[in-house]
Amino acid sequence: MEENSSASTTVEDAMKPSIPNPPRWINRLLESFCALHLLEEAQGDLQELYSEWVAEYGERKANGLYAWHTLKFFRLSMIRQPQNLFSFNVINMLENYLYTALRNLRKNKFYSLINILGLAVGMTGFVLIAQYVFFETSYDRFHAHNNQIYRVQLNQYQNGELTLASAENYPGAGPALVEELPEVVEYTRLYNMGYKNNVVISYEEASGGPVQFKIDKFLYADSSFFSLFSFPLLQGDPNRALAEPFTAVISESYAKKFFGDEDPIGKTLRLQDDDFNDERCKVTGVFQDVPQNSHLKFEVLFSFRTLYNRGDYARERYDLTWDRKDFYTYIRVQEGTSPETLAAKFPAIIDQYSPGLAEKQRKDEFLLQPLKDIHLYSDLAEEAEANGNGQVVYFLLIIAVFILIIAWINYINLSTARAMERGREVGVRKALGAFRRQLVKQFLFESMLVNLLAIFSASLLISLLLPVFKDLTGLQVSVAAFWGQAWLWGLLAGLFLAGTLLSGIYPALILASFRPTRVLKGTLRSSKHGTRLRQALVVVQFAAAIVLVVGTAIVYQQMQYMLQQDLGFNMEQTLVLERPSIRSEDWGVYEQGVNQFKTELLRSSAIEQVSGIDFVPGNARKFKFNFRQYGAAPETARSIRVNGVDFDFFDMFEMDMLAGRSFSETHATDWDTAVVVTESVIRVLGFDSPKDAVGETVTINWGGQEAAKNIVGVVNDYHQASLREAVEPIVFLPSGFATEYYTIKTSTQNLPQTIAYVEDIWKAVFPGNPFSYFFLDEYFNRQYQNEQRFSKLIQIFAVLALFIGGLGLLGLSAFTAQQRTKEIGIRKVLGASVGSVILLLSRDFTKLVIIAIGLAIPLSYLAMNQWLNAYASRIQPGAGIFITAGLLTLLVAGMTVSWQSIKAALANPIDSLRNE
Amino acid sequence: MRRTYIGELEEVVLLTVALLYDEAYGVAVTHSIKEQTGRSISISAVHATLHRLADKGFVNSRMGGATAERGGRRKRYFTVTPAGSCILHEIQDTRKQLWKRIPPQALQWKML
Repeated sequence: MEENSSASTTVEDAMKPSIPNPPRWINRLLESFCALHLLEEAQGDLQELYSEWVAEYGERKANGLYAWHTLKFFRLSMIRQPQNLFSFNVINMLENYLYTALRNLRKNKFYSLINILGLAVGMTGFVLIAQYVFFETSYDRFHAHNNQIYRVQLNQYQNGELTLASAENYPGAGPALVEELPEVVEYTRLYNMGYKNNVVISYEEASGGPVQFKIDKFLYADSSFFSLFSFPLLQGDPNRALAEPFTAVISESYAKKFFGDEDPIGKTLRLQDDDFNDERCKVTGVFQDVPQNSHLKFEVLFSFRTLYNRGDYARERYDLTWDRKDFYTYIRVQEGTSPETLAAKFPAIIDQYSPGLAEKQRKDEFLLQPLKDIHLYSDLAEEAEANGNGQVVYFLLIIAVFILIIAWINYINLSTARAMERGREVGVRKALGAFRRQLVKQFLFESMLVNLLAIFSASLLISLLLPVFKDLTGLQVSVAAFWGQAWLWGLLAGLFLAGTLLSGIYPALILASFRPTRVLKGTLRSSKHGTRLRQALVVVQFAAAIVLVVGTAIVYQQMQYMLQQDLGFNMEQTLVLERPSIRSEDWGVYEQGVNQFKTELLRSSAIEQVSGIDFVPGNARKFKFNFRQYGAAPETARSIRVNGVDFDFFDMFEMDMLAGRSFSETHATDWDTAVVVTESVIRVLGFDSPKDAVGETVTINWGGQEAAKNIVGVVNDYHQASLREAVEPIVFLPSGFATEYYTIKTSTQNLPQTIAYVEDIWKAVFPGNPFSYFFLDEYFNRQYQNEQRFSKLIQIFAVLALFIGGLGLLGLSAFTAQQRTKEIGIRKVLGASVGSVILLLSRDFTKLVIIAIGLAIPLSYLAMNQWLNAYASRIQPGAGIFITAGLLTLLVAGMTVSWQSIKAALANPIDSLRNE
Repeated sequence: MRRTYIGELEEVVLLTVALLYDEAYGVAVTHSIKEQTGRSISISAVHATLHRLADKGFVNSRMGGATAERGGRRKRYFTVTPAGSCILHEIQDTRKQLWKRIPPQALQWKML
């Protein structure tokens, strides 16, 4: 059986042309695993069969069969047994590598710590940010049809000027698109009470008395809602749940809140709102709580058809009209439909359904927004919630990658710098017969070990930091859920592999390339080339760190600027209450109630003033109407935002009356004809000055009807929205007691007591209305939530970058100092001062940091200027920021380097020179 | 002495080796089994079985000459050893005895 079976390759080559050749690689495969004494006959038989197969089935199929049958030779009795020495050797060598690596790590605790700590911190930052990015980009992707769902955006133009870009659309738009375009499969519309949802929902038959909640996460939804979107229903039929008028579907958690353990199906919920709507709906379904990564967030849905029962014009107003636009409209298109081709058909449909726009100098435009882009890339009027910012998310990701690179650079720099120390080991190994490849393997193995330790430390750090991270980003994720994510394990595995290879391969190649004769003789010195590269990498590290420091400073300054900027009104110590949802339909009774509320509030010495406003500053809801000078041509009309206020509003908000007067109860005609305008309205409408404008008449056009208004006063411009946006011109109308919000100016003392007092009066005057309030400054500054988050994250990153970069520098400088111990000893013996030695050792690194500063300043200026451009009111970053950031980095670097330099410089030369 | 058992596939392969007499090598055995019994057995299985039979001492093998159609590789020819012949006879005897003892009605199902 054990005949000599060496393959006769020369014969094989000679025979080639006459017989069909199976693929070579399959042969090689067989050779790689088949036992040597069985190989020849196996290959021979396979070759014979292959010839038959080619004749019978043709080459393609024969190749497949050949591969298949070759693979089948992989069986225990036929594969080469690992009895040959080589395999054992591999295991022995790995063991040896492990020992060497561990010894090396232990021997150089300081450098190992720097390496592992730097990598671990870098990985931690990267993974946490990846989690954030993953979450932000995962919005709305859980819908089964997410690639086919679009929101139909509405753009309105007046006189060729874009006056509104809204997330909402006309109620008639959805049905028309499905009717006219075969590509549109279905639509669903959502209505949130004209973007205000001042709603109280009650379960009145509860055994312990009515259960009531003020719910603003509330929508009317078409019956197609649950088939278009994929929000899972726990109870009820997704296709029928919202089909009938007066039906409701509620979230799991609100089902608990309303009904406890009772079965919610068939129970009646009553809705009351501040516009006197009063509807009773039967619960027909319960849906799973809406996930955090949905741009639509809702607790209660009423069926859309419920709206049709709001009087004679309800069908027109809520189903058919192409006039009022307060309906989110989503469509699902057929698979493979291109949004561009579809959108090209919209203008014709708009013309057909909404004729005569051109005569009014108007134009409408529909745009398609892919569902999954809404969260990160949409910033329209009347968004369903404050959206994220895609640019910032990717910006953060880039920063995170940089942190990781900085950490990898540390490893590369330290291991190549310290290569000399390992030189002797390499020399001995090579002299004893190690191949270059084996040495590369050995050092890669070492970097694998370091990366593994770093990954473990990082995992620990991540688990520890997760709560902090949650606070910072508002992300709801538990430690268990966090580690349960499959992609995360993939990411860690990827980080481990990439880290091992990227940071390990270069040092491994350098180390393995040493010539044994030279290292063993001791004539090898570190090459100029390697030093240059290390220097370049240090420059990259510090340039990145400086960019981050500058970025942090600028973001912080812009934040402070926005928070401290004079807004044009005083919002301090202002408590805001939304008007009651449940109130009398008799206006007299209502007015009396509001007046009583105000009078009683003012009885407290802690309350200074009470007023009212329709659109609280910081509220994204907008109404715009067309204004022009009385008698001017319709083409001169400009679309201007309006706001309704109580008589004493300007006084309470400390706004300046530039000319004229405020609204006044003593002027009987104010209710019908008076307007107060902000300064910029004067300019927009073409008046010369505030003084000239007072007493003038303007024409207002509200949805087709025109009315004349008299300007009685002009106030200063103010920021109704955040400072991201430019100051808007605003026309104030008198709303008196009927304003949607009540504003209460309190004194600073004893706030909880004051709030309790307000609550008591509220309960007494508006019985049945749940009490809720907010502070105006907090509410307004909530608009900067994204900026605040970004500011904190970038701060952390800047610290991380400096920390890791500093660690690397510490390692490098310690090493240099150590290498030059003898030189320093000799210098000191010859009379060098401590100062000159420190200078000598620090000079090189300081030079690098200065180069980094030079590189980083223009880079950071460009990047941050880009970021600032998104803000209408922005700071101009002064030279101070850059100088401070540069100095700070220099300080960190200087301290790191000098710590080692001073240690070296102070050392007694006797110690370093004694042993030779 | 412990008896060496022989599996069903081994039996078929061994019989085929006997049938082919001096021409029994991997491909020939595979083809012959296909012709005689209709069973498709992969070449690797045939090889594995042949070598198992060789280990058990039921077949011997020798290398033939190199041929062009095998890309210059030699064939390994198998022949049945006395032990192989013995076991084949034994199997047949056992079966015959068993058949004899089966009561006729036990296998009457086919007639229905």
